[in-house]
Amino acid sequence: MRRTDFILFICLILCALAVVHTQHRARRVFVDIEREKTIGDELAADLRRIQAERATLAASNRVERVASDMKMHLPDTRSVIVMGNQSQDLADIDRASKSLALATDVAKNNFTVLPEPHTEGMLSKQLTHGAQRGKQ
Amino acid sequence: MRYKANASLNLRLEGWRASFILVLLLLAFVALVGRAVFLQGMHADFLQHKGEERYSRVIEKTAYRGEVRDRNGDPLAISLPAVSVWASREDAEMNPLQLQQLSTLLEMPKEEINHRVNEGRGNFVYLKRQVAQDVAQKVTEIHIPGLFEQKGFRRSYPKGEMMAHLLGFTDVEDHGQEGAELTFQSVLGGVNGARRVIKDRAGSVIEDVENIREPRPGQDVVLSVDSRIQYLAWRELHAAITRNKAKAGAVMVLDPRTGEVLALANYPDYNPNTREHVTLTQLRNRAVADTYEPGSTLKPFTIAAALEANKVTPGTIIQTGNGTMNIGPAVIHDTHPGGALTVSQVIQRSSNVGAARIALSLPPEAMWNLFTDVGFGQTPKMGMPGEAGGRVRPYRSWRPIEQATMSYGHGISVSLAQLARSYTVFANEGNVMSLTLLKQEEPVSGRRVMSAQTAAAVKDMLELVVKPEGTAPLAQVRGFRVAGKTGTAHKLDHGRYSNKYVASFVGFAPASHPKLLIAVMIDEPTTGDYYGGLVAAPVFSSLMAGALQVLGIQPDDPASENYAVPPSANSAAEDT
Repeated sequence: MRRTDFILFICLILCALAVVHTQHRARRVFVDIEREKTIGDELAADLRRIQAERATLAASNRVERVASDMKMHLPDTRSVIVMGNQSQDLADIDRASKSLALATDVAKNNFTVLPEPHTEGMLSKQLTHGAQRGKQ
Repeated sequence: MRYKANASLNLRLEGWRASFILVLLLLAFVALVGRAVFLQGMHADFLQHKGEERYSRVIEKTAYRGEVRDRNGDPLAISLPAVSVWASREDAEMNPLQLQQLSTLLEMPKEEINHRVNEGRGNFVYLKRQVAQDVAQKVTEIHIPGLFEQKGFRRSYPKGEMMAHLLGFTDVEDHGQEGAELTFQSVLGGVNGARRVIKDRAGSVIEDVENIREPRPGQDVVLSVDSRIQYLAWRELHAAITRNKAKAGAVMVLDPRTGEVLALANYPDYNPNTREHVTLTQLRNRAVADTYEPGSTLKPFTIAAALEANKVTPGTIIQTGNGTMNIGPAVIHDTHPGGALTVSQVIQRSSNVGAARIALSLPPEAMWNLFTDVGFGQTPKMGMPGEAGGRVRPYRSWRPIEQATMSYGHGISVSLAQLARSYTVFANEGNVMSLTLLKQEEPVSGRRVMSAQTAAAVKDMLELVVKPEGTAPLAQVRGFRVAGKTGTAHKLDHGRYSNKYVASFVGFAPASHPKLLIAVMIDEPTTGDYYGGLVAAPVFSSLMAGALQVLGIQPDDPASENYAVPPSANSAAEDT
C-alpha cells in the first residue's frame, strides 16, 4: 500500500513538472508563431507596396514616355497586315519572305532597285502572328 | 522532599486563559474565511478585472480595404500601410534641430508644427496622417519625446490623374468619398478585428485569451474599365483640350454589347495621390454629373421615331428649301441650305430644318417615348455618385417650336453618360443597354426600344456622317467602318443662347459588328473651330483607332485606303 502511494506520488510530481514544462514550451512556440505572423504581415505589406510600384511603373503614360525616349512608335496602319484566312496568310508570308529574299539579293548584288519599305516589319509581324496561331 | 510536596507543581493556569486563546485563534480564522469569502465570492469580478488589466490587452487586428482592379487585373487602387504621427502636447519637447529635421521629413513648415503642438485644447494632436512607412521610420530615429506613431493605411492610386474621376478617393479614415471608392464602399471597406491576449513584461504577446472579433478584410472590386483604353481616352482628351484651348471636356468609352464602361475621363482633373489643393472644378465628374443641350447628336432619335412610326423611309425626300423654316415667330436655320434632301442626307449633313420637318410630322408622344426609352430624363444608374438625369419636359406641354428644336437637341438636357448609353440602341440592333462599372462575366441582354430594321437604317445613315460629304470625315478610322454623329450646341448663358459652344461626337466601330462606342464632349473650344466635326471627331478617331488596336479587333473594311479627305471646315459646319 505504502509502495503504491509512493509511486503515485512520484507520478504526480512528474506530471506537475511536465505541465510546467509544456506550458513553457507552448508559450515559446506561441511567441514564435506571433513573430512569424508579424513577418508574414510585413511581407504582405511589402507585396502590396511592390504591386503598387509595379502598377505605377507599368502605367501606360510612363510606358509611352519611355518608349518614345527609345525612339519606338506604333506601326503605321499601312505596315500592318491583318491575318484572316489561313491560306491567304500563308500566301502573304510566302510573298513577304520572297520579297525579303529579293531584297537580300538586291542588297547582295548591289542593284539600284530598293526593296519595298516596311517589308521586314511585315514579315516579323506575320511570323509572330503565325506563331500565335500555331499555339492556339 | 516528596515530589508531590512541591507546591509550585500544584499551581495551575486558570482554565479561561486557554479558552481565550482558542477563541481568539478561531476568531482569527473566521475573519480570514470571511475575508476570503468577501474577496473571492463577492468581489471576485472586480479583482479579476484588475488583475487582467495588468497583463491582458485587447489588440486590434487590422483589415485591409479591398483593391480596385481593372478588367485585366491591373491594380487601380491599393491600400498600403502608413503611419500617422501624433504628439502629446504635454510631453512634446523638441530642440530647434529636431524641429528642422521633423519639418523636412513631414514636409510641413516649422510654424505649422509649432502651432499644432502649442496651440489648441486637449493633449492629443495629429501632426500628419498617412505618412509613408520609411519616412515614419526616420521620424522615430530623431527621438523626440512626446511624439508617437499610429499605424494605419494610405490609399495608393498607381494610375494617378488618368483614373481620377472614375476611381474617386478615400478620406484619412479609409472611407470612400468619390467615384468607385464611394459607390463600392460597402464591398471594399474592411472591418477591423480584435483579440484579447496576455502580454509579458517586455510587451510581447505570450498567449491568446479570446478572439473578440475576426477581422473582415474588404473584398476586391473588378471594374469594367480597361486601363489601356482609359489612358488613350485621357491622353486624347488632354490633347484636344490643349489644341482647342477649351474650358472642359469629357470622354466615355463603352462596350455597346454589354453596357460596360471601358473608360471615362474628364478635364480638368486632379491627382488622387496628392490632392491637398484640389478645387471643386477639378473634382467634378462632368461625364455623369453635368448635363448640357446635346444638339445634333439627338437627331438620329428623331429620325428613328419617324422610321418607327412609318412616317418616312431613309430615301424619303424632305424639302429644306433655302435652309430656313418659320415656326410662328421663330426661325430655324441650316448651315448648308440643301434644297431637297433624303432623310439619310438630313443626318449626314445635320440639317436642322430637315429634322424639324420630320419631327413636326410626328405626334409629340412618339418622340417623347423614344427619348425616354433610351434613357433621357432619367439617371443612368451606372453607379457613379452624383449622376444627373437631365431633363425632358412632358410631351403634353410641348409647343410646335419646342418639338422642332428638340428634334435637333435643344430644349432638352442630357449628360454625356446618357448620350453614350442611348447610342447603344443603334450599335445593338435596337436594344438599349444599362451602363455598368463592373466587369460582366455573363452575356447581358438589353431592352428593345426599336425594331432591328430601324436601328440598322439609322446606323447606315450614321455611317454616311463620316463620309466626305458628311459633317465628320475626321472621325474616320483607317480600315474600319465607323458610324457616328456630330453635335455643335450653343450654350445657354443667363437664359439666352450665347456664342459659346459644346462640340460633341458620339459614334461606334466597327460598324459591321460594333465593339466600341465612344462619346466625346468638348466644352467651349476657343481657338475658332467649334464644330463637333472639327473639335470632337478627331478625338473620336484617334481614340477609336488606338482602342481597336489595343483590343486587337479585326478591321471590317481593310481594303479601303480610307478616303483621307482634307478636313474642310465647310463640310463640318452645322448649327447644332
